[in-house]
Amino acid sequence: MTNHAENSGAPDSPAGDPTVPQDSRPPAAPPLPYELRDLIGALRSPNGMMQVVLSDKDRLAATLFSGRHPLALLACLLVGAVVFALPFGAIHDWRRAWVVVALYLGPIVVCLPALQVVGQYVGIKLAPSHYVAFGLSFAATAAMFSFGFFPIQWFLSATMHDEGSIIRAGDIGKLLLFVSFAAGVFTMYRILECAQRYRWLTSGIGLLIAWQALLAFICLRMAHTLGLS
Amino acid sequence: MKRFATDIGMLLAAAATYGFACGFAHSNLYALRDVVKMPLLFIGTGAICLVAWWVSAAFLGAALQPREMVRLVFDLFRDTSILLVGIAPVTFYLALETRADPNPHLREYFLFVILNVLFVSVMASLAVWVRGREILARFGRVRCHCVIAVWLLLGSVVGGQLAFHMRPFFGVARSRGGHPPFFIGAEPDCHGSTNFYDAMLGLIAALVSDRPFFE
Repeated sequence: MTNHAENSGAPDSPAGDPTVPQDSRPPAAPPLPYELRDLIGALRSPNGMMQVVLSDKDRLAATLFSGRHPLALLACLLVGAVVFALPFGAIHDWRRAWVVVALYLGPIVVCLPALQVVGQYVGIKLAPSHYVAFGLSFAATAAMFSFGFFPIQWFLSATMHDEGSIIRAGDIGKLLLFVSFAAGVFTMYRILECAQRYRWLTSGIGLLIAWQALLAFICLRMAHTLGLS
Repeated sequence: MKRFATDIGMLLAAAATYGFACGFAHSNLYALRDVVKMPLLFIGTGAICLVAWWVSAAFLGAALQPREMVRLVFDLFRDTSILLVGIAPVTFYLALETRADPNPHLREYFLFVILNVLFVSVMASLAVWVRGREILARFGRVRCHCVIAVWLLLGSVVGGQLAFHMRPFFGVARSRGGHPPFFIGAEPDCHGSTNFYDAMLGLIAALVSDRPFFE
């Protein structure tokens, strides 16, 4: 693991420098981070939230690594991770609406300290808010996918009888939650890929893979605890 | 608003026409029921898939405005219905043949069902392909194709189960003269499947094991 070029879109080495062994091309112009009004706007409209979290990964990564408006970004991701996850959990019983929120946010709370401590140890020196935002990007994406799937799961639960069936509505619900989880994981890679392309970070993939294995394990355990497995 | 009303009218009329042709294979009762059920199937599938399509498109880098998405879904199903009107004479002819036979073999029924499932799948896929490419072209070719593939997958998962739940659309010949419920729902089909996915598994298992399925 090597380290980072923190909070900067500029390349570390000039092009043509013989000490730079490979890929000395100047990076593409970094995207602009979100302005405060974009993030506040996202808190007001589901479509705006969707665009911030899902659509423009370059700008999300730029906001995350630039350290601009960290509280607004965290609020945006946290609200997304909570609000969008509620409908899927409420399909069978509105009192259990929090279950999917807990499924995606819980493992982040449990595993994020490990990412930060090990990340710092191996030289990825990011601010704690960066790590939290990185983790929340997973939870917010997974929550948004579960929101997209909740009408489908509601429909399947309403139309499928479990007795005597090989494939049950509950099985498909688990599959949809897994797809949501996978989308969240993929979002983290997309952010990391942007960070590497614009040289905000030069490494971290190995750490991310190991950490995501831990995250998946904790998610599975939490699903079991929450009665979702 | 006027254009929207015209489009709604076209969707309902076109889907109803195709539904009539499908149901006519069994009886006038089924033909009239399918006039209502076929538009319901299309509108229901669109409504259930709408949010998932929107989220998946945004995730794949093709963020659409909610209004744009609603319009697209509506256009998709209107186009599908209109395309199916083109094939409705074929269905109607086959329905006439099936109905004229006083004691048709069950295989004929399955052939009719499979052909119509194929017609609906092909026409819906074509509509998704054409309309999707039209609106998603600005996001790049690869992205556009990925979004369309995901939409087709989600649409078939939901549409298949909704159609299964809304059975009978066609009805076997021996049930003529009876009054089956409007929707059979999760009652087992002739192979014991209680949902679309079990039915598909049964079909695949039969194909793999060479077991007769259409008997």
